[in-house]
Amino acid sequence: MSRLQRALGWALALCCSAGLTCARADSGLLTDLESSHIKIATGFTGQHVFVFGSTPRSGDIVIRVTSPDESVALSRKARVGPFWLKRGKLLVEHVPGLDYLLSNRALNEIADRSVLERHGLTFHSTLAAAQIVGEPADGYQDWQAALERLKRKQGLFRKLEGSVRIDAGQLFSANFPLPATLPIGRYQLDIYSFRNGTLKAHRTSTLQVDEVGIERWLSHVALRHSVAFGVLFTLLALALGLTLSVLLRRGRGRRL
Amino acid sequence: MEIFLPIAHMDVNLLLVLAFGVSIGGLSALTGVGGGFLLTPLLMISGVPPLIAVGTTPALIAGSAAAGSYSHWRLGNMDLRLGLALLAGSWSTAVGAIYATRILAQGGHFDTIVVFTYITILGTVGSITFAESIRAVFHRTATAGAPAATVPKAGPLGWLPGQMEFEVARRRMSVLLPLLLGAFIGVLNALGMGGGFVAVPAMIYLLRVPTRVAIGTSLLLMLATSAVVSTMQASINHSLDPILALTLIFGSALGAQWGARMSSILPGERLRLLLALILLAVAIKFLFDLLATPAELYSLTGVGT
Repeated sequence: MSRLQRALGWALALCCSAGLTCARADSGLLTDLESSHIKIATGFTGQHVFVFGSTPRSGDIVIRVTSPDESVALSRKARVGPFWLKRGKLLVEHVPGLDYLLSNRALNEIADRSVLERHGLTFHSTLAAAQIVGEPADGYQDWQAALERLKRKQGLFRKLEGSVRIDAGQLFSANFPLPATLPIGRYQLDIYSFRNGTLKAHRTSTLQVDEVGIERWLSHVALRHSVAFGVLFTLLALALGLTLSVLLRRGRGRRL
Repeated sequence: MEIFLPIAHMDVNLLLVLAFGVSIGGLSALTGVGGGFLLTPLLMISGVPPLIAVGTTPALIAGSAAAGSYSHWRLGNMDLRLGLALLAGSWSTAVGAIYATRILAQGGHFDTIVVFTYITILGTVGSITFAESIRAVFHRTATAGAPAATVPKAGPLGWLPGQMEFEVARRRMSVLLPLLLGAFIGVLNALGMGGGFVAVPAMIYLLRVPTRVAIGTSLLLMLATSAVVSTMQASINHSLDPILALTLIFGSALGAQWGARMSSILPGERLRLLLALILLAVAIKFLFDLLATPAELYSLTGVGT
């Protein structure tokens, strides 16, 4: 597989230098995705995404993968008498559903923290861009750290240092896994090329993640036509309960 | 083997969900209790959000009650007038409870209320069943069934207004009694608990309805209440997951057949003892989760339906 990937990378580099259709930035940073569409169907358990490209001169590569911004709600437990209960709720807007940082080596070796922050290459800067609705309630002061912790636990915020491999100084590739619970929508892939701690080039491409087949149809019908869905599905449940019991009973009768 | 639930937006193990369905179906065939009140907490323990667990269980209850109602209707075990009085009560509170669910979920209080309700109900039902089955196992005295069919006459609450004749049940009582019982069942049903486990004993011991009529009428009540609750949970709270519901319905239909076959082999009172222990274990687990200091104070919840 990795040989195929490397071959793809070389093919891309070749076709690009030959001036064929290929994403080309002025800086000479070139990238492409093996597949720009992820389809979630029944039995989807996550998928690997392969990104590759070339950079004119050797340096470091950082890739940030983000899914569209979402609103999330945080709940915090507090002690009420002997019980630990959820107290209140904090609504946070403009949080990417998924935020992956891929690099060829440790991010803090590639550039200073301030440089990384400026380009949104830390979770801290991602969460600094998030906005809370209203004032945080009592005890919610550390919501940013909590949100980062929870997102990391769900595998939706990840730092994959060392996941970008650089061949022959100029060809890079990364193969990273996306979880089964990935948010849907148009993902943005930002590819940054750093040299000696400064940003030299930046390119963007997109990745479309959709539910397809029965999954898409079901969630579409259930959410958009919820009344019809409720009535019809309940009738189906009734009919199925009745039919199955009659059929299985008959089957049992034959067997006995 | 993982399957993706489109409304819950999560992966679950298909075999685990099927096993839940089979156990619930088998249990209801063996012990006569519906099992919704056990299914919802089991789903919650395996990671399904409380809102989805509570919203999906009624579809299963409706499906299995449809199967049971049909045979009881053919046997003439349904008191339609009593059923309608119960339904008038259950429908009104269920509709109210579903709208309350929406408001509570938006405020972030729904999970807490669900957990406390389940601890109370599972703890109570578990303890009563435990005591009763221990008596049955060790003393082997036949538990007194329903009081023998009595002549239609006013009960101790004969002074209540709205006295009415219930022919199949062979009882005369105030229509307020089934209305109130129905109202309580409606709330339980909207919380994903079905309510047959309360309706049947309440009809037998409080309303003094003959056992077979209590069971038949309770099935009608479960069928019609769960059907309305299931429809409303899907349309108002978007909390019915079709893949989860279908898997459970298939599992429970299989389980019900196996259960019916096993019921002649397995002793009923020991099964009830097992059921009581499961109920108490689930209640204790929920209580422990409330009392133990959580490792993580924060959690991500739905933004609101």
